[in-house]
Amino acid sequence: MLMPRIIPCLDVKHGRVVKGVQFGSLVDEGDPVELAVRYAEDGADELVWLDIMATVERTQWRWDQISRARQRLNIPLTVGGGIKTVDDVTALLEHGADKVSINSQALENPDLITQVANRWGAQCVVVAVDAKREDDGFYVYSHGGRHRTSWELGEWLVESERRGAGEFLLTSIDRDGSQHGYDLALLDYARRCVARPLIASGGAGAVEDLLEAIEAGHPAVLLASILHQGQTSVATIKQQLRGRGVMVRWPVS
Amino acid sequence: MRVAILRLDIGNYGSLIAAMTRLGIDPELWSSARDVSPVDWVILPGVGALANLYGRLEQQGFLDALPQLKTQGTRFFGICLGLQAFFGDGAEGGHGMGWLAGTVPQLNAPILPHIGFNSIHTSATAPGWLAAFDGAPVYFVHSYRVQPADARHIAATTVYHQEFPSVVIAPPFYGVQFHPELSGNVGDLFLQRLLASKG
Repeated sequence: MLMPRIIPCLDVKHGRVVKGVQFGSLVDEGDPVELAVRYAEDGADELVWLDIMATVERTQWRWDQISRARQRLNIPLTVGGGIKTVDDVTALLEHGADKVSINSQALENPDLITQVANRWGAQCVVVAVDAKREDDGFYVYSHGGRHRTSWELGEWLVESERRGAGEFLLTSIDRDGSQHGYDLALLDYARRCVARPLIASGGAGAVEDLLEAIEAGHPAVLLASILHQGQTSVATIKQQLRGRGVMVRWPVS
Repeated sequence: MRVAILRLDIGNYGSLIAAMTRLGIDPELWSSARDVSPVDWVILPGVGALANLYGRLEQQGFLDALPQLKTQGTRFFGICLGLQAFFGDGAEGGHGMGWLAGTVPQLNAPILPHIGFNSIHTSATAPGWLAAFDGAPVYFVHSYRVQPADARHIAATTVYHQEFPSVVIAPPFYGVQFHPELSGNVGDLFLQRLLASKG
């Protein structure tokens, strides 16, 4: 049976892990390579590494950090932030990423999804979507939640899937950093729109939040602030999930 | 031990090379037919689409150069798409090499790709080193599966909405539908045991 995926996320700014609240103020949380290795040793099933400034500042990727992480990781690594061209993807994959996450640039140039999927396969393309609830539904935002686009969520998911997205990383802007639980209405809606795996993101604050998402049919869950602030560890979360009857990958050695 | 990885221009090998390094193996990276010579193992890594894979194998000269190794003691290890390439035509429209009889149909499941850790269930005929991995969780990411014509080649299966072969053994061909290089410590151990196994 397919096991749930517990996926810690590293938000990286200028080579350091940071964590903000609702895309707002940021706190330094350390070296991303060391943190990535710790998460893997603790039982993370995959890792997502997002350079949160690459799109905004057009800063250069720190390839050496990805390479150093790859040498020490034996689980999948998805890397994203500021990816604009097939050449950017080539460079990230050559430095050890297994998948790339594309967000703002997919909205500006949807053909990028097609190009990457055609060359490396759909399984290589994670389309990251930041969505915000409005009176009449969910809408897609770009540039780290700064810009509202005209895309209604479902329409964008369907368009991305048609173009070759292999997986979606769906973040609730409303819940991000809040630790008030995943936005299940958002996830349920997205689940009905597309036939690709969805990674639930935004709002995890306790093991109950993960349990709730998994039991609602969303087995891939992203963890961010719950881990970064030392509240708990991946190992503790997995043991708690097992205690509640959820078959997660454990032990990891 | 001499291990070669086919370096096709459509894949990413960072994870596989890192896994080899962890096992103390310094793999050769083969880019063209000129690199081909008898080794202990040739690894066909699996990323991309089957149609692209076959095209690259052809363009880089491997389709003509590799078959001679089959009788020279070299064993072949296919990972994911690399396993699919051992077979004939795929549902995706791509060709395989046709070294093993069988097909490559799409998985019958509501959500594809099948992504994540899932367990393997070894067959009664699985060799001892493999039987030790019965129930072990390994990492999958795929939308297609192989269907060997000879069921005796199925050494382990996995269930995702349907049961499908996850390990295929038909010496000198060895293939896995999952990615041992991304399967945590279990994956490292699997690679070590497979490469050290007796043909």
